[in-house]
Amino acid sequence: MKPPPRGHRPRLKPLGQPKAVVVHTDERDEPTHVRIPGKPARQVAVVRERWRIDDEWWRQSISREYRTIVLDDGTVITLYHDLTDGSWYVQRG
Amino acid sequence: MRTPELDSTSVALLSPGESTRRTIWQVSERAYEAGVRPGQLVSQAVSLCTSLTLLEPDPTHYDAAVDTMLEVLTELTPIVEPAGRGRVFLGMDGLGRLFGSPPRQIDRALRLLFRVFPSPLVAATRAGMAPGKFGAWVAAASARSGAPVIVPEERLISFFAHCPVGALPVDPLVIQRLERLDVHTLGTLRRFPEASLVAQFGEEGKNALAWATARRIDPVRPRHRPRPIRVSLEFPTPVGMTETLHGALDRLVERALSRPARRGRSVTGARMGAHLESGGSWYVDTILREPTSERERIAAPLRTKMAISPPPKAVETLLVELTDFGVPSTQTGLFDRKSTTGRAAAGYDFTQGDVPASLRDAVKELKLRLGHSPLYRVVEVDPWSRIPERRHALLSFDP
Repeated sequence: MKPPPRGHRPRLKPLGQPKAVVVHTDERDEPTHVRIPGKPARQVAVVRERWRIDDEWWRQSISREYRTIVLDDGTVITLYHDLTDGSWYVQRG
Repeated sequence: MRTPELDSTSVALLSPGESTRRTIWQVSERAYEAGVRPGQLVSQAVSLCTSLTLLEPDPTHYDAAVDTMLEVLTELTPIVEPAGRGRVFLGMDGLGRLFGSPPRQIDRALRLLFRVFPSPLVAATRAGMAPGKFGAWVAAASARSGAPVIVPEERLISFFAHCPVGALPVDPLVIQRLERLDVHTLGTLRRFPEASLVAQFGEEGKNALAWATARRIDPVRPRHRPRPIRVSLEFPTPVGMTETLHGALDRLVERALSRPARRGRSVTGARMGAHLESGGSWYVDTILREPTSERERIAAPLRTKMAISPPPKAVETLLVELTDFGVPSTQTGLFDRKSTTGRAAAGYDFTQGDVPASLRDAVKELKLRLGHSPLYRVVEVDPWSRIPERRHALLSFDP
């Protein structure tokens, strides 16, 4: 069974891909400021919710600490801290 | 040969399909020398050869390689007959004036293989030339790599004299009985009268004698296989959930049915396959009870086969192939039955194939302008995944 050449294969484009953001944290590693690319930095007003995902240790381990936060302009975003490489991302969904 | 470092080790392929007692399917020359044989249990094989490297089979890759090889060989002769994995017959009658002497013809065929296989594999190919398929097969089997055996018609009978009876394409039980009767070569077999062979072995005995005496010369029959319609879908991350695979199967069958090459033909056979995570492949075939061009009638038996023999690992790429076709379907084409305008069709589930003509025309026009369809539809990939980017995805909408 011969697959079409790799370049011509239809590929699913995942929705809700995470985007890297710059986050300043306090001494307890809680986000205090968030700068989404192309937008001014905002202060974190409140952390509403927090949860953690640890999965796929048998493949490429996923370990994320999610937070739903409210920024000082009232925007609600979902951030996660990738515990495998220490970077921060914003994600929809 | 995809992993050249394995060339110097003992390698065995596991039999396809998941089972608690897996057996050996194919063995390398080194493994064979150590006593490993196809059909042995893995434990037996490892006890015979402790340094044995066991590999998962990749039947999809092998089929693709064979298909490519057959396509390439048709440049030499239109009469190409595949005879199982690793064996192919070429009809070279009448091509002498075009390609030269028999050694030149063989050389030309082997050179073509360089376009498909790595050089060590071509170098290890054994080739033989003789009148008829049986003669050619025996000649190739007795040849060494790089030294093809050519048997002209006048030497065929003497060439068969020392050939073991095991080479005969007859029931293995017949061969076992012949060997028990101390008939080990075709030369010995030839001494028996036809009547006694027929009395002992029936039709098989008659055929065996005909081959041994070179009275039976089977011509090469070119394969008449319609070009299959292939579609595939690559997942962003390997998928193990059955529901996700079922959804992707539906999308792929729809896409295969909408291909212009399928129009006016019904489908009688289909195959579903996958490239698996960390190597290997898997597939299931189905022959449909009646010709159809309905998605569900093609997808349902594939789903059933998949439930019986599921992919052993997570799937990276899912493939669907419409392999056999029947008479033109009396049913209306899948995408031709709606004349509803786009406005009237608002809210329709297009995944059912009810794509309004207006939308189809619009996509066609956009494709002409942009070179690709800029429309996508949202499909569920793994809606209950804890990882948000795994839940939904965009799939190109190209009816």
